[in-house]
Amino acid sequence: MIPLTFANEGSLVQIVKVRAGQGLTRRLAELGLTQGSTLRVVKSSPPGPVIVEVVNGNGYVEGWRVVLGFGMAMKVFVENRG
Amino acid sequence: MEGRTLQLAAKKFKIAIAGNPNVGKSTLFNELTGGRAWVGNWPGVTVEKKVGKLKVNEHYLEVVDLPGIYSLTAYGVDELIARNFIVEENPDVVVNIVNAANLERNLYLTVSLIEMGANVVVCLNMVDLAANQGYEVNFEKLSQMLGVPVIPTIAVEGRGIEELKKAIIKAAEHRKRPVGLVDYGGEVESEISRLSRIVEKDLELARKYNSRWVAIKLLEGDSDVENKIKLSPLSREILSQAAEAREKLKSSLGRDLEDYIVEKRYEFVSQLVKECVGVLVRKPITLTDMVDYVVTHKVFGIPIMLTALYIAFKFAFDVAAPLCDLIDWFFGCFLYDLAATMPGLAGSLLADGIITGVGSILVFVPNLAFIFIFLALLEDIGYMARAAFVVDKIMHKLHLTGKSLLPLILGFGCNLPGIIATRTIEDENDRKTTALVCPLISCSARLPVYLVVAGALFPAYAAGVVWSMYILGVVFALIMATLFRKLLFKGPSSGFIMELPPYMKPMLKSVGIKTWERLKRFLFKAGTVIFIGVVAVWLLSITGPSGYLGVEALEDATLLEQSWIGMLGHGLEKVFTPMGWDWRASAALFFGFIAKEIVVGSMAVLFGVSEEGLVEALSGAFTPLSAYAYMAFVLLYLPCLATLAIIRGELGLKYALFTVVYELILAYLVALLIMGVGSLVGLGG
Repeated sequence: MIPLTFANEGSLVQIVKVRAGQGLTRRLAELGLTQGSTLRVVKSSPPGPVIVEVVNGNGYVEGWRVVLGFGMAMKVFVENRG
Repeated sequence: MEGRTLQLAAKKFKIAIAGNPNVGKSTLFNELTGGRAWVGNWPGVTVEKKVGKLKVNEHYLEVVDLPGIYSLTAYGVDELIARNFIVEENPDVVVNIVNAANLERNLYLTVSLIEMGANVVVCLNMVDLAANQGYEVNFEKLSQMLGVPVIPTIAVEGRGIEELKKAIIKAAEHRKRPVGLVDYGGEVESEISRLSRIVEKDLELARKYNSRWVAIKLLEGDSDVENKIKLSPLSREILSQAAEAREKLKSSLGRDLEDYIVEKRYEFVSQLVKECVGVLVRKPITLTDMVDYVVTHKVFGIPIMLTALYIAFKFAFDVAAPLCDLIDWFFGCFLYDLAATMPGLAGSLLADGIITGVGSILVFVPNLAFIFIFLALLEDIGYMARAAFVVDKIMHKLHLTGKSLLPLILGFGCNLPGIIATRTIEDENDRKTTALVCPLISCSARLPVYLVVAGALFPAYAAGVVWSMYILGVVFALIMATLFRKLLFKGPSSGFIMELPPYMKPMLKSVGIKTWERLKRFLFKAGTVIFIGVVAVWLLSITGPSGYLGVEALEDATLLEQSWIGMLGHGLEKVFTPMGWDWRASAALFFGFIAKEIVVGSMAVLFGVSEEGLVEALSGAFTPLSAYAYMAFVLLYLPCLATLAIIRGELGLKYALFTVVYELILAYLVALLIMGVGSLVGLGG
């Protein structure tokens, strides 16, 4: 389990845990980032902001892109999925 | 008597438009209402409320544009506004505009709206974009699964709008009873129905709210709904039962209930998408991928951003220059001469007060318009969101986030729209900090002061000196932001999460509307606040402790010395002794409070020369060092009246006064420092 910040560019990761306050966790969830969501790391500049593409579940729809600012990406913990 | 029968059949409906940001909400609003809107504020907050009207057949519709939102939680101001409007005002129809190219993301709000009991009509927008990306949405099936009408549209081309209007009328006339949409699973469902039965016991609550929605919100622990329940006579029973149910479910599910509910809603949305979206072709690498690779590049990202902004400003100033000259001539020569022919007091008020003052502000309109056009283009293409990403790392070191970028950049044009743009920053501390330091960014009104003073005292390297002012402004804005964030608005930023919209072709209409709305504020404030300020200064110049001096005071420096302004200048001269600025330069600073570019005009009046003769007069009155300190002071000392009025509107009187105090202190210290350091290294004298 690593913070999203340290995931490699181009890799596919799955969210294991979000360690943030209630408001933030909710905000992330609204953008489709919850426990179990699969993300593709589009851009990463550790420990800075990260751009991810949410490729949740069915894979039918090309995911939307979300920027997680500095610090934010440290609060989301992921596991590598290739 | 035909008119009479028509009137009897006519009905009035209240319609709200809801949707995510970047899905074409404003375009739809304009398409429906023809762009004619009156703008007010939502009660209690400064978020804009746009209302328009339209007539369909014999029916009158009032259309309210709700803020762009992703969900209906109680966490954000915009979300609460939208939610309260739907609950309290109970609009006949809520038109939910969704992006067909990004359904999974958008339908979460749709499901939340239906769950809340709103009478939803879905406007499936950008179907062309979806088709381009290789998707096809089966809207009939979607409509069937959601239980509400779904109308495909391409709002920017006005396609599907007539069908949408028909669907709105139909939905408004035959309002259906809301049904449960998401199945939260046996155990949770039984708690939901138990709680909703308790809620229904209070008839007032049952009449006003959808009881199932209230029950779900109570399980989610929604503070706003809890507060609403507190007004009910049954509040104790409802709240204690809700708390009990929450505890029970939490232990049996073994996880956070709120997360669970959000997840179930998402599952439902995923199911919808799976069944209603067909894939035509799958493109391996999109244009967005390629462009993103370049513009967010580690090394090239920042140079690309600086280049884009440099081009924007260069373009704005070059294209606008002849227009500015034209306006300048119109006010400064044509109107002025015309008004000056009027005899006595009225002529002077008109010529020396109003036309000179307001005219010198309007000169900037072309500059501003072109800067705003270019920035709106960058926003609409989708670039500004990428720029925010690029600068986030640097901003973080300064305790801000990438979202502060756009307001500060707009500030270079004019501080007013910059401060208004801080509304997009969700974190309250970040927002206040950004708004407070925005006036330190050197707006275009300060340029004439630099040009004249630097031209007089540093003829050989004026351009470099002027540039240094812009850099000084940015440096101090960032320093103060860090300070405020550390001392005044403590605590970590709640962070910055932002959806990156796909790159899109900019729409002329949207760019036009954005530009006009920013410009409109500037014009309005310039027209009201500055008008009053100009008249006040004019009055203070032609009267003094000895009474009325006559309008000649404005042309005659010795007479002007006797006026209130003269007294003030002499008072200020003492304050500025360490800098060695004479009374005329000091008094001009007072005029600059109205609008900074007036400093130049007032110096011309006070030195008793024309603006062309000013260069010579100034080279005698300043040393290069004191001139540099003077420019820095003009840069930092006070937000102009209009900016101050905006800060008051956005953050309240307390912060407006705070801005005045901190900027005065900062400017004085910096000027003092420049004099001190300059003398030490032998630049003085």
